[in-house]
Amino acid sequence: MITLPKVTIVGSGNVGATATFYIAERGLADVVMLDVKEGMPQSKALDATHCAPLRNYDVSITGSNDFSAMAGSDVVVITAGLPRKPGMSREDLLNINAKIVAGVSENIARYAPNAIVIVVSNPLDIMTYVAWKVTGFGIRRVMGMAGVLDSTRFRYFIAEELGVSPRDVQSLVLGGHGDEMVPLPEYSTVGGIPITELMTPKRIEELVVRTRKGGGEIVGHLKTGSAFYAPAASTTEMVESILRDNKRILPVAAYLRGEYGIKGYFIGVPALLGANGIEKILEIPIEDRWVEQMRKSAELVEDTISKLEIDI
Amino acid sequence: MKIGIIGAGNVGITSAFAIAEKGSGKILLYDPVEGRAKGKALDLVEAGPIRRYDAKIHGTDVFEKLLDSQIVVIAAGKARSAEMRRQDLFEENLKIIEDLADKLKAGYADRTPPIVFVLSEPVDLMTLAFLKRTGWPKERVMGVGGILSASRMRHYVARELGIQPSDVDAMVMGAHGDHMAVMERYSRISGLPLEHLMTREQIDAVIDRTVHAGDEIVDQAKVGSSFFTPGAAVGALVESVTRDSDRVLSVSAYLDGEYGVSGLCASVPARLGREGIVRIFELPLTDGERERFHGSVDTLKPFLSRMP
Repeated sequence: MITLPKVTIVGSGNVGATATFYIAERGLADVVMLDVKEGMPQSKALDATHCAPLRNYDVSITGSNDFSAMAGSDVVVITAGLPRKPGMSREDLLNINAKIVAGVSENIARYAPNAIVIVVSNPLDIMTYVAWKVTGFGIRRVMGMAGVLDSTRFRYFIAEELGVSPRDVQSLVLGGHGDEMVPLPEYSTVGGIPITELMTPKRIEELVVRTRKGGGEIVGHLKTGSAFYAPAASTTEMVESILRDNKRILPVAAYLRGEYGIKGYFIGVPALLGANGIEKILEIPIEDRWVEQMRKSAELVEDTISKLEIDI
Repeated sequence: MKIGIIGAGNVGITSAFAIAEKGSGKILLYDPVEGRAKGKALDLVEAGPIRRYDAKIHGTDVFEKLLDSQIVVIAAGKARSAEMRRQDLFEENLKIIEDLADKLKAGYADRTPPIVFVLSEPVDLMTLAFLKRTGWPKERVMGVGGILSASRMRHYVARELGIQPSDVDAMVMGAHGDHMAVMERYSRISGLPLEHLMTREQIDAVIDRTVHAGDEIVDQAKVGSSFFTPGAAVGALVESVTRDSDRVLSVSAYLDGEYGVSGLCASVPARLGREGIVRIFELPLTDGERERFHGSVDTLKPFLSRMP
């Protein structure tokens, strides 16, 4: 019998719920929504099933507070974690979320030992490392979602600037998520034309800065809460490439073993995503200053990990 | 938006199908052979419930009914059969195009000309003939050339590497035919140059296959030429106009000094919106690339004297 793949989304906040919806719309998999908050994943799953007749999907969507519900998942997405609250330091938040992600990861190892894990929780490069360590999974089966999100923002800003369809814009944003982002304008194209031939360096730099602060711009408007449409869409893109074995080349946070001169940490690099997870990491020629920046991100990650109060 | 399609052969009806699936507007299929367009139009609307489109599609053999279309797709004329090259159709299709141009010009005498997509082969020359004969603005008439070969190249690159065609961009310029100019530097995989992921031999093989892809299909099919890819290309082009989505696609456009060429139509990257061609991108070319582009365009020149 042919059955649909199964995806578990841990965390039923806006990112988790929206990713569920996108996955359903593409008919990629049956989805289990998991959250510790009683009633929340169940209610959102119900709501999502109710629009099936209108949105033309027929995947199953269920909600649960019990980690055993993820049994047999092909992909598990971790969106769980707390947003920063007033009075909370970055370090406090880091440790709280690391604890949450570690707890989820233990359960993944127990109930879904064959799953591929996509981490969305922030700070991304750290949380991905925690998930990898705690699950004990192979390095090609654990990855972080950041580069696809930074890239889609950069692509949109380029399209808006040039007045062209976003569909024709490609870009690969590598490196750490946020301030350490590596944008690579020479590999950002409009219908194959590098943007370096369509925009001044000054304008490109402005768009890079806007991309770097893309998440912050949205938080600034919302005051409480952060972006979720683009993060959910980016996650779905990765889930799809894995489940359909599409072998798309996407920027993902991957464990490096010397690529770009980095060893032992997760940093955003171009990778081929297929049924086996990260099937290949592409080492492309990039300017020295960007390699330097990626190494600096890795050092920051290393430093932060050493300060984690949890035992991993 | 009303889209008129002239010619209910394979290219015409596949274009209609692509347009219907994208919900770009109401479609009128015209063919002078009585009943042909009507029958095909019926078949197309009847597939709607399964394919989930609700476009109004009608067929007619009355030319005048086309004359309030905002977009006209010309899929009329002879198609190739085995061993024929595109230019072998020149004489025969020129007459058809000029006749259509005269009738459309008269029909649109007191209204804004439609946006016209020409598919009849040889496409660059037929587009030029249509433009000359109607005298319509060059932004509103274009040939379906580069986008078609680019789609084929994207497929071959993706297949060679086992990746997704949607991640591949390809740029094919110049005259549509054996001398088309494949621009390797402007062909990319997720933004990365081909040579990062392919060997020289792989790239050359893909380019060669792309250049001869149309011939390959004709030679296999014996009678008739490709129509799925041309139809899909029309779907994308029409959508960019109806949605004003400003896509950047390679179309055969009238060149008025761009790339140092004047008075000819050839494929160049262009931005397409509500009013047709919004902008032609003049890419910086290396000496070798410029030579290939001009070499390609030069193959069209001998035909100019045969156009009135």
